[in-house]
Amino acid sequence: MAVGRLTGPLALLMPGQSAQYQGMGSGLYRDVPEFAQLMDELFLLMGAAGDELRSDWLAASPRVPIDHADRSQPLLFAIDYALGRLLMDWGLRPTVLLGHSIGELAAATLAGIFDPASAVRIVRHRVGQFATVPAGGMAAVAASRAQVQPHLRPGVDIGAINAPRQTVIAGAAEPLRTTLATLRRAGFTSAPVPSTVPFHSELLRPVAVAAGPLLASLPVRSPQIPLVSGYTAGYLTDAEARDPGYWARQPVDPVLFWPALTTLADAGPQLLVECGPGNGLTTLARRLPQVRSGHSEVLALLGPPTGPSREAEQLAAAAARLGISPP
Amino acid sequence: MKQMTLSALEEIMHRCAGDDESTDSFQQAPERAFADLGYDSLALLETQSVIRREYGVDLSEQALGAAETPQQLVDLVNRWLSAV
Repeated sequence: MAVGRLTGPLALLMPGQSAQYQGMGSGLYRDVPEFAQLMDELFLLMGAAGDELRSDWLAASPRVPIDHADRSQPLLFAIDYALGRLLMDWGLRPTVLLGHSIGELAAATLAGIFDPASAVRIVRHRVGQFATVPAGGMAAVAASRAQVQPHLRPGVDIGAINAPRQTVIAGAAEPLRTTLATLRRAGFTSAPVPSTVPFHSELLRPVAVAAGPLLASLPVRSPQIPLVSGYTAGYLTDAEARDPGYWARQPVDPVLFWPALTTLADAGPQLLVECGPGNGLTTLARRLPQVRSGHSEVLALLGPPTGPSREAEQLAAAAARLGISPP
Repeated sequence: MKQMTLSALEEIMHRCAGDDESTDSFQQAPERAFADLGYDSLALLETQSVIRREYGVDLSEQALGAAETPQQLVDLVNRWLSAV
């Protein structure tokens, strides 16, 4: 693998649910003071819930498991945003941002659409609503959306298009189980997505409705960095950025990640940097023709999940490749 | 005796991933990790089921997890085929 410095247009890819793992980013919290400060600012904005979230995050045996949306959602948002902020404080100038699900809220905050305090209120409000959503789950199917669609039982919806043959479905536990059994009989492979909430299914509609008044009350600015929308697969317009409904619908509408990634890649050769835990989005991005041909490159800041002790070293190696350093 | 080649594996995995064009990256980099070649765990599960169907080799999830590169997976399948 090349170790030379990477230059040119640069996209940040910010992961969402399914990227989480216990201890993610906790090594950075211990070893990189600037990162710890950014995280602490976000925990502080969360109030008492922030203290609980932090102690569970750093605990060897958390009280609430990491795959629970009460933990995964605010932590993914916070780590994605803090990592992005850190890179920018160190001199990185991303040309475009693309987030997957909750990762898009982190991207919107990094782009200045929301200030961190407002974004934290949105996350807190959503998490508070999850308790009202019927128990359910999510699964990734090795098939196209068109192949999956006819097999969906009532109560199960398309949750995300991650790749040409990777479609995520979401819904209530029982119809999800029967849908997966039907898909298996039809010859399609699937794997569970670790989530206690059936994100991007119609079951989340009440959460979107409930978020309306809060979103309408928050100050919004035009994006200072262009975003490719994971919901339209086009560049986010000013009107969309200012539409409370766009942000309210994030947890219920399907994520069009692959079409959005294609839009981003079509802009020309660039470096796609995964700004968050794991390497799930860069693994998907490696399927892009532009990456396979070598015209664009990918880099995961933290790489595949490893022990917390290696995170600072991985970040330093990535920073060196990006030609940035602490001020 | 039927054996699996790197390019046969790559053809299967292209099909699983839905790529519309082919490359010969497996032959160029037989020891690169699947994740670095753009194949995640779902793509590997799908590959496992195609290998079962087309080669009659039933790899356990554990064996599949141990094969981290194209060469390792091809060797695993071929050991199985030679043993039958």
